[in-house]
Amino acid sequence: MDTAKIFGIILFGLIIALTMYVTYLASKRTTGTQDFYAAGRSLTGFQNGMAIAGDYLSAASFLGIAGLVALYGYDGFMYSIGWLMGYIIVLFIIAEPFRNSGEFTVADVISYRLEQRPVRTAAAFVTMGITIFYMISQLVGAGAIIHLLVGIPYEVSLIIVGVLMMIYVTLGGMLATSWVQIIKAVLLMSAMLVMLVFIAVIFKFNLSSLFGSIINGSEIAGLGKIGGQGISFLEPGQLYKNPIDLLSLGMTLILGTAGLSHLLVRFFTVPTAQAARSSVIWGMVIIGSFYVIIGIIGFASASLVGEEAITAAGGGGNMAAPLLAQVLGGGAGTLGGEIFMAAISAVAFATIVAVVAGLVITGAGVFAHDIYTNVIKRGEVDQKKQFQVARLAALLIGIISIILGILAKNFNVAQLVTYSFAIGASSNLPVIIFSIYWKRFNTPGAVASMITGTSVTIILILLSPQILHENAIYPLTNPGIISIPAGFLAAWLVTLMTKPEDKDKVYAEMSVRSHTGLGAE
Amino acid sequence: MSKAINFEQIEQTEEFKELKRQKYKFIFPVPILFFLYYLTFPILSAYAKPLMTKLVIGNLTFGYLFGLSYFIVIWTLAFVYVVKARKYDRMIDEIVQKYGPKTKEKGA
Repeated sequence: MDTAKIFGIILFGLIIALTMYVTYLASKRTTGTQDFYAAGRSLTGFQNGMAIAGDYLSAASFLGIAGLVALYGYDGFMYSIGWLMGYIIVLFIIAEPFRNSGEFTVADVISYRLEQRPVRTAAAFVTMGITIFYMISQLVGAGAIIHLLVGIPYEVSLIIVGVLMMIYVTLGGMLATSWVQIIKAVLLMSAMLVMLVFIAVIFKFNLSSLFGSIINGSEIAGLGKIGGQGISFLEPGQLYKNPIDLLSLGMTLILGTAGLSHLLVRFFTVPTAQAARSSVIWGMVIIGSFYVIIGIIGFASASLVGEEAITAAGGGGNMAAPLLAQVLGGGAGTLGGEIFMAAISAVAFATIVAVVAGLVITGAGVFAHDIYTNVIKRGEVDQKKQFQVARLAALLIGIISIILGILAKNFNVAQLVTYSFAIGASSNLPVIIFSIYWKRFNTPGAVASMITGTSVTIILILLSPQILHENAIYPLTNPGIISIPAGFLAAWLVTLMTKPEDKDKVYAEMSVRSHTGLGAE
Repeated sequence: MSKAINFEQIEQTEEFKELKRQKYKFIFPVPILFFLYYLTFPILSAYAKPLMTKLVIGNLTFGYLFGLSYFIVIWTLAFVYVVKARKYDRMIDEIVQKYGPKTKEKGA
């Protein structure tokens, strides 16, 4: 037991040391705004693909989805699928023109041929909304999981995570953030692959016998009787009772991915549209593999650990993956079992920070580049000052996030992250698509869409069962099915109701630039 | 740097219009069809439970295999996109060669 704890702490320390070293190297190369926001556009497609995976796959989703599958079977699996599907829109419609049209932030693209100040201000608020919901869900989830895994108090673990990410971001900017995300992606995927190999050996490389053990139960040497939940475990409806809600969630996930600001700004870290394309492809390979493997880990945990033990460990299923590691390593109390579990816990703890760092740098871009430099100072700030403001913004956002995380301790975080997707799908996605592809699109349309999309999303959340419980006016937990059409409709109607903007020249510039990369930064 | 490029002229060329036509007829319909295909999953799960629970291969249910099909389809579409995008890259190269700034100015 003690050996395992020491091993876990050493592993954790090694990961911190490695990321700090990377941050130190990155800080020497981070001397201006282009380095700070966009890693000097120095990443290759493959590196950025790994960073996208590290940005997108949170340790919370690793533990959370494994738990959902382990406890609710089919419904947990169904939930896990939606997270990859949005990348089809990212790849086909967004990534390349987005890379070509912008400089550092989402607002760069949206405001390219529209009125700078109103559009930038609205876009900045949208990104802040997305980032705050995402941040709180990550931090609260992280604090709770770390408490469960390592036993240190919630507030302390939040401060550790917060201080680490502030060091990464303020010193090393986007370059350090990217490499922390790459290291995290490698660690997380390796941990999962090791678990997958153990599972495969137990079930003799046969997925059907894993499912057989769940349907009929089976007997495995050294592990005794396992599984036996019955066929009902593979039947839909264990978790989701309302099909319309599920439809709304599905829409939100597939359309929201392409509207997540912290994901989109990753495309500015590569030099060309081709590199942006290959980074999405690599991202899809890694993220897709993650969700396939996490399903298998979840079902294996259902079979090998069992519902009773998972529920008893607390955290609403979050311990399903660590407990499975314990069983795979030899069981509770054995050295192998405890070491495997400690390793999984250390990886989960140390990698939580990567997602949060990506959110902080996105928020810093909004404050320093959009609000301060372009809206308040109208672009008349020298490089050095911009760089200072960006670092200061990152520091402030880090501190605010820690405070918000501590205040939100008792929030139900499972839903929070899908709210980010909902704002992304109903406010960011319509204006990004229309500003790239629709010539007639104008400033009032863009502002109306962002205001409508965001406010409808937030109003529906406030009227939902999450907040009002049995008095809910809006019956669904997910606002997407209403708010997404509202965001698109507002953009379309308001544009057609207002005067066309006489901006053929800028449209020609943006269109040629977005499709060909001519003049891209 | 941007001043050396005549964006309005390029936008009006037949080559650029052709690039947009080729792209649009692929990049919009495919995600829309995929979106509809994706939404059948929650709908079937809600209204066709016996079908989704049917064992198809060994102990694997139809619902599980149907879920896995999304991964296969999305990866296949990504591959198809890469092939298509190479064609667009060639069209872009021609446009840049013909109307873009001279090589020495291209710099950034």
